[in-house]
Amino acid sequence: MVDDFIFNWLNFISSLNQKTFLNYFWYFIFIEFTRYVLFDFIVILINKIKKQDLGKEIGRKKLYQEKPLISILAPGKNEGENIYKLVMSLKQQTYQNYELIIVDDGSTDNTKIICNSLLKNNLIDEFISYSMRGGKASAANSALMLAKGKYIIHLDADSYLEKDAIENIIISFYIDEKIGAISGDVEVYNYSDTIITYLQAIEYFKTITLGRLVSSKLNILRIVSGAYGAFKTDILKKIKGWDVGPGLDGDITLQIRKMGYKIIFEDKSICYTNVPVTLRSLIKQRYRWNRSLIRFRLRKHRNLLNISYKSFNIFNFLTILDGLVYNFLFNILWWYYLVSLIFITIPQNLPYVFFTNYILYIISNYIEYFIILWHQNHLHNKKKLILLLYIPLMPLYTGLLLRVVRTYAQIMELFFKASFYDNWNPYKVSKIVKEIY
Amino acid sequence: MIFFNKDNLQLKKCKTLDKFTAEDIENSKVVLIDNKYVKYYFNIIEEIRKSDNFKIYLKPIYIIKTVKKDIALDILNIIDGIYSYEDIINNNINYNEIDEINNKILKIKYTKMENLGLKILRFMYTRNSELIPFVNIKSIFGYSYNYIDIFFNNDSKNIFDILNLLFNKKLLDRKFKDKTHSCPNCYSSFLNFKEVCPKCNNINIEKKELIHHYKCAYIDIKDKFLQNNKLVCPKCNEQLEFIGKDYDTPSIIYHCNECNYSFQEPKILVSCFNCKNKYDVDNINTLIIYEYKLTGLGENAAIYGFDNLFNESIKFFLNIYSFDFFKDLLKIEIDRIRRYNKTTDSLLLLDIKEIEAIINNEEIIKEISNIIKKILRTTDIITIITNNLYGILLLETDIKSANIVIKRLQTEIIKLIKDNLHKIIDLPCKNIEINKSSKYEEVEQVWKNFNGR
Repeated sequence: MVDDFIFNWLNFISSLNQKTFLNYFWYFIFIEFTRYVLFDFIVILINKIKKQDLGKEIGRKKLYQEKPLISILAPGKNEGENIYKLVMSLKQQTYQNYELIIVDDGSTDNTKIICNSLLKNNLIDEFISYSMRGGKASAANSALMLAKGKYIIHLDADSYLEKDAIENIIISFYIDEKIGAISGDVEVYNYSDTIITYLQAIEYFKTITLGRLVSSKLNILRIVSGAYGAFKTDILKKIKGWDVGPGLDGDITLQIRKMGYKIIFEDKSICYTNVPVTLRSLIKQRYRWNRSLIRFRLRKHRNLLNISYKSFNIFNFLTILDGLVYNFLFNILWWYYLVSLIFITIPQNLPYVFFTNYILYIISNYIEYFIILWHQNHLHNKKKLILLLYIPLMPLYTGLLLRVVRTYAQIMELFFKASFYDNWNPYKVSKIVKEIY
Repeated sequence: MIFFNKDNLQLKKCKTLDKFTAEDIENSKVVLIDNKYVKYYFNIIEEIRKSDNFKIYLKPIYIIKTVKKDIALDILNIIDGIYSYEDIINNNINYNEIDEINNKILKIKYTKMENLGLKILRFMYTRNSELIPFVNIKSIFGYSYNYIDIFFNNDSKNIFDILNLLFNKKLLDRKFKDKTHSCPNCYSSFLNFKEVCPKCNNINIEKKELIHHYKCAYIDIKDKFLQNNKLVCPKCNEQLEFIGKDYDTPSIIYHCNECNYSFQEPKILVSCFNCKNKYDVDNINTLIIYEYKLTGLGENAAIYGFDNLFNESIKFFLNIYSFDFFKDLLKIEIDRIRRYNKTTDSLLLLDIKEIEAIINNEEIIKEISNIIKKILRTTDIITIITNNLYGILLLETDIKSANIVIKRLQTEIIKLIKDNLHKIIDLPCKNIEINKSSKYEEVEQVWKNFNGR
């Protein structure tokens, strides 16, 4: 039966000419392939040719001459058991002039006891514990209040940094004064737990390691992850910290862009994080993330789209546009494509059309993966090989699963302001913030 | 001061004790003191109670109230009762009570081994009473026990340690009464609790309230929000209305003005008013105050005596040979040396009277035995000659080496006591050379005459 299918499919392929091919697969060619494969390839190629390492050496010299204090903020809830691992990871850093500030935002486990003990043993520098939860933003702002360093690194408590991560991320501040915030590379620590984690590992490589690098080179990087990002302290203190989330990391990045600063991605500074292990928790997480697109970019920061706005900046404009167009508009477009495909195709060809799409996406995923390998060479061999095996599942994951979640999220946020009912923020905060938007 | 004589109830009046011999006191039934002059006689009462002779220190002492004057607590603590003047005139004295005490004193057997622990047991035995702690501001840890405080000169640590030791030896039974916090060094309960910066221990810290403005997630100290007596958010410039509605106060935060450190929980430093030492609040002692009563074993010990606590304890840690074995070995050694005339032995005498008087803590006794074990060899034989006298026979040791051993023992033990109890004691030692001309009787005479000098 499989033989028949393959036979018929090959027939179908050979029957295609240029026009019909475009008819069937225009979405893939013009939207996915150009932006995510071609673009990325060109940017990486240019980057390889340019070789900008010279600035880094000077930057490193300046960094070690000045040796500024770096404040590392790790606000969180019920992260007590991860803090010790974080402390140990920081102790291995090549750059040691840092202070570690932990904020416990209403933990219900033994976080307070663990952290008090760490504090007593001088393994963390500052610790605040709130018995009542105030929300991620207020916890981050509490840590900011205590920060005495010249630069700030904001981490998730369950992160683990490469040895030279801090050094590499701070050096970039010394290369260009206009840089206000730097996004570090976030990779998946627990990639081998389940199928879901393998797929997320590949996804992170595509969207963060490669994707953000490209955005950064094009000066349209729109997010410095809360999982791992560095900021200039005076900037954060000026805008008095983070605003209520979710998506507070994207929000603050846009605020910093609005102030006229540059946002870049530092691919050599690597942080490992733990990702959701089950399908259910993954969906919950992505549902949350996607609502923030509407909340912030469409609602809060839509003045960036306003051409006549007094501090209009072309790159900021393109930044928002890129996100809105590709994650919102083209998402809607895909549903249109899907429906139109069903109409224009003869029913018996539909399976072959879908299968061809699937093959095309697999190929483009492999190309993207090899572009990443070409650029990055720190992955150890075992990881490289294993991930190759899971790539064929990526179209299902990105193309179908994530897309459905994204669409549902956007509908819920657009029409029902669902994020304000989520208990990600404590109710007392949601209640107030709802009134604003 | 009046003495009641044992048989014929004769009264002997006097103002000082020297008019009376120890025998007088021994032979009298009870000591009565006129409370009009009790202040003068306090020294005498002390002397009686602090005597080494049990027939004296156990003597019942009563006060006669010839004038209406209150009797001080520390005196009440060491006497057995009070009679009014009328009682005496009308012969209204409870002889039974006095007789009971005296009968019990008669039962007590003489023993060479007088020590504080034994004194306590005997008091409890003769008075048929328990040791009940009562609140007393004059006591350094807040509690006093009837009768026995006078033996300790307000050295509270000693009281604790010795009662504990007696309990551990099953001579006393105890019941929980109270707990106090006290200085680990001197057991004083008079403590000063201070809140200080956990980093630099400085007391110059300020307490501030944090405010969390819900709308913009801004958190800072209240001072930063205050504008003209109103609360205004410095981030978004909105006025704060109601706590719980648009803002709350999630926590208190302290700030150290010396080292700029911010913290939620101040460190509590405790300083002792008595010895001025400073501690973390986690490190202060908790003293458990007990009521004590005699056990059967304790009653037995009260009558027949027991080897003093120091000697009892050190037997756990050191290999102490019996005195009989020691004497036999000494005789053999004297013979051997005389016969072969090749080497000499040395006999060391150690007077541990001062050590025994102040040490009641098993830890320190263990440390002392460790020192002794370290300095002596396996061929050195230790024995207890009398209560306060230890003998050490150093085989094959000449006078010079023996003197070195003495020096080391003295130096290290005295240092140990100085470091731990902050007292400088004397540890007199004598060295007797056992050579070809030594005679057992002469050697024996030396230790019989040895009393520390």
